[in-house]
Amino acid sequence: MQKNLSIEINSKNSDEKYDVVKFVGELDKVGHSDVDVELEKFVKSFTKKILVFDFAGLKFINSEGIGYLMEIHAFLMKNDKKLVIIGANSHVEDVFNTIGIQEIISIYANLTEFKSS
Amino acid sequence: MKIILKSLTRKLFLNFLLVSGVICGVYYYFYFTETESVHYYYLIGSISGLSVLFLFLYYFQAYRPLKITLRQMQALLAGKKYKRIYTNRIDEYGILAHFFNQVTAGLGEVSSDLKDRDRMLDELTIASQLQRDILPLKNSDVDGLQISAKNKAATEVGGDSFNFFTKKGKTYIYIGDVTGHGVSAGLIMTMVNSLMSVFTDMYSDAFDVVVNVNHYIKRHIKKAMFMTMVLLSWDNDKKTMSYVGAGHEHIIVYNAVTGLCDAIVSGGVALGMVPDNSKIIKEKKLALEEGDVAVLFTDGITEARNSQGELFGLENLKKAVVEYAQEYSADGINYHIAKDVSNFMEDHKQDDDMTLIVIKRTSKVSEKNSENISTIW
Repeated sequence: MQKNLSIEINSKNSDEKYDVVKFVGELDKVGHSDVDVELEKFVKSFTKKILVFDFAGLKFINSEGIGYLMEIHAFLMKNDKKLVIIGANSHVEDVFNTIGIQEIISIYANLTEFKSS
Repeated sequence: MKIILKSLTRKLFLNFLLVSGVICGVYYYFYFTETESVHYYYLIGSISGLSVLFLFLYYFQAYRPLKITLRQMQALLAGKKYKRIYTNRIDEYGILAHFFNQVTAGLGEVSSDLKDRDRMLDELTIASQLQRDILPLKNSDVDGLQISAKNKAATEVGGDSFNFFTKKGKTYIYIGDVTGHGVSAGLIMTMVNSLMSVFTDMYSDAFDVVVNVNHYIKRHIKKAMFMTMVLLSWDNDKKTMSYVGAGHEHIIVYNAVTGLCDAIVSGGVALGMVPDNSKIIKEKKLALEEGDVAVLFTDGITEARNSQGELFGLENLKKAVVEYAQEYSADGINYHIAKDVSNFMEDHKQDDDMTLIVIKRTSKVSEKNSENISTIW
């Protein structure tokens, strides 16, 4: 059965500060259930300072998807870490702007912009 | 059943052999030891006695256990009360009784699960009814505005919320959407609705109401949950409208003069995301002239999907507002937009709660008073 959402974890980059998780598909309740076990395992064992979610392949997100992001954000903050989002398309960016998530989570256009910040 | 019939036949045959053997033995004994006239009486007596013994054995070994088992089976099949069959036998009857006991024990568990399910469904129905009772059941017009709200939960208990309050010369109209839907969202929605009722009494402007609702719910909901909201405040004397957004969907505003509509970003940040939202949210003016229409909605409408997986979207909603705003009252606009959404979805399942509020600025009193119109979609 085809998954609504898949993730690709790139934890082999040489930078010791961050890891990138690429999302492909739709982040809603159904999509989240496709990746929750893998994602939770990774987030709980994450040891670097910044976790970057690359949303370039993410086509859709709804308020439940934002809820999951908030949960991860809160967990990382509690452990003195940070969540960063890059590459959101116009729909995803609209949802972020509507809900006001940019007030809480740092959002960049791409990895280059994030690095230069 | 074949096994039972075989067993019955075998038992009957064995009993018959046993009784025949005993009769032959008795007859043989009397034939050689007693006089001819006496041994006939003994023979008849023996046959009668042994027949009774045969029937006795047959009754207790075969007929009675089978009758007990069949009676319980009939009770089970007829939906009547049945009992467990107690037996120490390890023959076919024992197996049959044991089989019956196992099946009925399983049925008992299923029945218990079904009862639990029925009980939970009953409780959900009560929760759903309680929630419906909390939300306004009828629409409510105020001087200068026609207001028409419709709400449809995706499950028994929804996470969408809306209400109208007239307090201290102001009418507050709010729409809210808790993350997801279901019981947890429903509980938060209920809590926020109560807070809105209390805080609109306590504070004199929409800004303070939203700041204090946020402050309260931030402490009481888990990290992954939040609620988006937009609160409109209508000054009943000055006939002016203002709004405070808390991360909610756009406000669609139709201009009766130009015949066009804008989607205004409500702004702010969703309730429950930050401990203090007072630096992020703002109370802004919303210009509404005679004939203008403001539409509030939850994402269940713009994210409604059809069977091809396409979204209804903001553009379709704006087009529908333009199409119906001039011609219809607030309730008519609401009805036609809801119909468009339903037509778009066709048979596709409703994924999220849907709420649509249409507010039309008008000095005319609607022919069909909104106060008599239900808020149920």
